[in-house]
Amino acid sequence: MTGERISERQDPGAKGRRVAPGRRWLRFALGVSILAGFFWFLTTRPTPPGVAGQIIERNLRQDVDATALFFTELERMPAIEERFR
Amino acid sequence: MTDEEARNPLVASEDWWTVWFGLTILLVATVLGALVLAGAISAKSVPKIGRWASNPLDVFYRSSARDAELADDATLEQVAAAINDATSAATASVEPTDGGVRLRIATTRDGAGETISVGTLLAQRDNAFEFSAEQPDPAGLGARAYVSRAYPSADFVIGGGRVTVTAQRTAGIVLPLVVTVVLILLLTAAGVHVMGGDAKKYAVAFVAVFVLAVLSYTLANYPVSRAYGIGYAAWALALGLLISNTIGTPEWLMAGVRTEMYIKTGLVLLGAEILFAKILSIGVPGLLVAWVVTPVVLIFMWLFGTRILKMVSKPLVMIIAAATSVCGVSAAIAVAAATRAKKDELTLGVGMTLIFTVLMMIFMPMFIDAVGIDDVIGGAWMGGTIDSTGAVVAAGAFLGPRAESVAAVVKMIQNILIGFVGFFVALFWITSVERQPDAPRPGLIEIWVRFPKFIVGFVAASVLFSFVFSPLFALLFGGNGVSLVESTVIRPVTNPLRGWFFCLAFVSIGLESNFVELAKQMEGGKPMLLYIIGQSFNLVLTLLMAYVAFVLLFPNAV
Repeated sequence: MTGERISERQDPGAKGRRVAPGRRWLRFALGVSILAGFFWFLTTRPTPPGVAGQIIERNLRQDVDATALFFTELERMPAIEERFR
Repeated sequence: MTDEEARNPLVASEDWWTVWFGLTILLVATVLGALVLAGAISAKSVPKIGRWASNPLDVFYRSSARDAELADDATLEQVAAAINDATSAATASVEPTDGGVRLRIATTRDGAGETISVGTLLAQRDNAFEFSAEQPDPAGLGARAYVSRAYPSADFVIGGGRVTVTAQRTAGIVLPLVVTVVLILLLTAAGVHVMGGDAKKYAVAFVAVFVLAVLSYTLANYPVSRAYGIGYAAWALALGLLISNTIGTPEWLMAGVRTEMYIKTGLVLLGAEILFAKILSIGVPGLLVAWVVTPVVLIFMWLFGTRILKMVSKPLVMIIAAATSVCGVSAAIAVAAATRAKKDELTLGVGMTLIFTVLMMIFMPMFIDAVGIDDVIGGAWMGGTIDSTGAVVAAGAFLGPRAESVAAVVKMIQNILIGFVGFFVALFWITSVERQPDAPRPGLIEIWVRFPKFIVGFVAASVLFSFVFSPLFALLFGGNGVSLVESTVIRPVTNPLRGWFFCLAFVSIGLESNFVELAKQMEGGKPMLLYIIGQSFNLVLTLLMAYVAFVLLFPNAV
């Protein structure tokens, strides 16, 4: 992969424009607030209505890890494979 | 010729170094695994960030989940016996209560804060077997004990499926985590030094990037985040983007931002997880769904993106096509490395995949449930179309154990394709995409020189573990070689290490990506259109193939 190094830029968010340090930290604080706000939203255990909500509720009750990227990351994969054989 | 060019590429190129890093880790892990099986040392494992049960510090403890598998006609008494057989973290008993009996599952641990959580997956859906927690912890995600609702007697038939008991906070991981950081650092810093980099600056920056990776895993292991499928890749990208697009990635931190090195090393480790014996053991119907549809969708999306949409960025077309047709994020990063894509292209491809995966995890089971599609066909359909494995299994489990099994196995077979896709895409790139219109076809030597070497490491790892180490372990220790390798080498050591390398890579990608460049990659919404058209084609073709494979050709496969 190739790509421009961020450190070469004067302004990481908008290439080519100079931004005062104070404004950068203000942007950072805003970004942190957005991420923190999203995480706070997750802590309210939001569930959509209907079947969609049942799926999320079920994942929560069962402690289902819906984030695994690859089959070897699933703890119960050996049991599933065994069942399929 | 510059000094760099004059040096032997085996020690000068980062591409080769990722092969050495990966193979060194795999060989050391294999020797450790063999020593464990021989009884010479106790089992060792690389720490994974744990579940977040009641507060963020829980992630610095291990947890352990055990499944009790239930026969189709399991009674309440047999469920209790199955749980007692499956785990020592809890005891299950049938107790008298008002109006009959109830099943009680209690932790066997007495330490403060040590709790269990209990989940069920039954053929009759969850409402057939309701639990409530006794003395739950403040977050309500673990408890000292769980009790079921009242049933008429201990002989009451619950039905088939499984009960999962998770023991929370079983052991601390801080010290093993520090050891892991130091070992990864020593290994990679040596390579950085030989490649001509400043190992000291790299070491300082690496630790900072690793801290961001730990934070990403911590956020991803919050139960609601896990339930929605918002994993470490999403949080790592978000944290990296937050820094790079606000205060800017500091110069000192850039020394540890080595995206290619982390991705390629992770991919070499991933090669060990692709064991060919698995393909043969799980049957033809899954192969039909996963392996017929995948290349067709990949080629369709490539042609659609390059010829119909005429997208400028060919690597981006291939990243989106591979993520959609193969296995989401893992395929995207493999193809991005093989096509030398820009960070912004990978960020965009991965971001789209992560968002659509969550949507499909929710809406596909809804649709299947509403329309009344058979759970086996539904499972195969979701396994072949939802991008990430975790979301596939979560969606499948909602429909029941059969759908979960079929979905997981179809996805697993699709996962195995990642090596073939990476190899052929790299070859296609050298011989076709990067070739000038009037240039002759490159010869074998030129192909070899330009071929990404990490793919050689990936294939070598897969071949070694499939055809050398698995049979060798079976010969030396008896039993199933694949299972032995998986249980002593892959699951405890190489898989978590691969996770750390990928997480470091996603933090690095975020630290190098920039919203302005990302906006340019959007090309008026063409990547989104490519994803939607390609995924729609994938949905239709996979449903058709699932019907052909599991109804017409192999109706008794499951």
